[in-house]
Amino acid sequence: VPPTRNEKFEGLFRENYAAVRAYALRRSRPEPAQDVVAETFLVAWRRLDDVPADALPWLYGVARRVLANQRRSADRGVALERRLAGAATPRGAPNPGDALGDNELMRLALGRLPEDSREALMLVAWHGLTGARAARAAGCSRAAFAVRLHRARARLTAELAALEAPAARDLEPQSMEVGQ
Amino acid sequence: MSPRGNLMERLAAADPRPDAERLGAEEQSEADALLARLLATPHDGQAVDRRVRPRRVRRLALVATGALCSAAAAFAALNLLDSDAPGPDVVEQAVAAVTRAGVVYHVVERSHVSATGTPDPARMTIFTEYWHTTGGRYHAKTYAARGDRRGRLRNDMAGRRLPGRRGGPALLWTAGANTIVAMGFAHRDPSKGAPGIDYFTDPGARLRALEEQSRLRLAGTTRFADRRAYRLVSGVVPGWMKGGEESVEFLVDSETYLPLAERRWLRSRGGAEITFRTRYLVYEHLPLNARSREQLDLDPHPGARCAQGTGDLKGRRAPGFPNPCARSR
Repeated sequence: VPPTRNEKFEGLFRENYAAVRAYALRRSRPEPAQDVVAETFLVAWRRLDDVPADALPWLYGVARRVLANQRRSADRGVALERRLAGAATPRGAPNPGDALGDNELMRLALGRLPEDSREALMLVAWHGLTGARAARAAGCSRAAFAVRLHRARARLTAELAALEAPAARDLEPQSMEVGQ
Repeated sequence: MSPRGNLMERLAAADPRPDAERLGAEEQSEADALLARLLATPHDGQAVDRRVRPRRVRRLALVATGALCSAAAAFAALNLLDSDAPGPDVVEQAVAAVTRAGVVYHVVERSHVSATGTPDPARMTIFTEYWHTTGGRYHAKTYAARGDRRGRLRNDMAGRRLPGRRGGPALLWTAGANTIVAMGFAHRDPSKGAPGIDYFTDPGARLRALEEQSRLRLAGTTRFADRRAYRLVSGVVPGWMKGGEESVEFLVDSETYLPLAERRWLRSRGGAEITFRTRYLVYEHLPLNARSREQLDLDPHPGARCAQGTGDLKGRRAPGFPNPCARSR
């Protein structure tokens, strides 16, 4: 007997909920992450017939778009905030007592990358996806993803060097080709 | 282990939520509740269960609260202004006082870095000591912080700018790997983003030029570290990364026009914000002589390994000082 629609969705949900939740939590604060998970599975519920057999990359792709929409809304809020304030005012007081840690440094460097580079690295390093599955999650071809990942690694290396090097905010380490 | 593999392993280790896929009892009950709500939701796309929609009302309230906080901070910044702005003659004299050839600039700075909007907000302090010349030499050492003081040396980089370029070859020693690697470095395109100090020009002259180009404007004077200081601000400008924004504010010594402090703010298109608050603990110019020239070279690091490719750096790849990894040494 083929599974009913509800049974099919329940199987999909139980198999992938934790991974989608982890995806959202690694990219967002906990409360909005819950919204992302709910929206993602709502899309899956509505479009259950479109969900491929290997559902996780597809779900990651949906979650990525939900997150992007969420950020666009947040951007509008920040723009409004800036107009009200009359100036961009840095927020968040640094804690001078915090020491530099390798993981913090790595996450800071990751945060400085363009969105597509950051996503490529996170899909592989944090979510453990193979190139083919990561490409499906990123919504591009396998070849395009390989190029994107290659560039992302180079950018991450440069950002790390920039952060670890002096006057990090002004220097932009490059490959040796700069001197050629 | 290849550097590439090492990079991805370091990145994997930096996962802020390595256990995120493990559900506790509470998370499992949240999942069950969400599943029940979804299964009760019509799937024809017409009607949507309101309980699975995002909590937009609460988010708007947070934005409004943030706006109030920002407005208060902006007001506090405005209070720092006064009308005692210097005339051009005073500024020109100050710039002339430091625009000299044959000088090694010696800088010790402490930067507090804070990042928000990233998957895992970070705060850290970095100490840096560096020496630079208008002739293109650059040597810098970066330290971790121990409380509010300088901690252990993390890395040491020295290199030179190639003529007509914004950067050039360098050698970098990292404490973590105790290895010296060859690398290239460059200043960012100076025409993009909020302006900064160019370490291959005189800092005072550079800041003055930025004022003349209207990329920095004088926003008043203040007192900082017992010094009378000019406040130079850029306002918010498009960032060097596409879609981003940046701003910078310098406090410069009114007599020497050397920087005393800097606050730099960056915001990526994705919403991540990074703020650097830098205090220049030392910004001095030393006469170029044998002793100060030595400070421009990479420090000796006994026992350090030399990465592949560092042994034969010649011509345009030569770092500009005796290469500790040279095969002939």
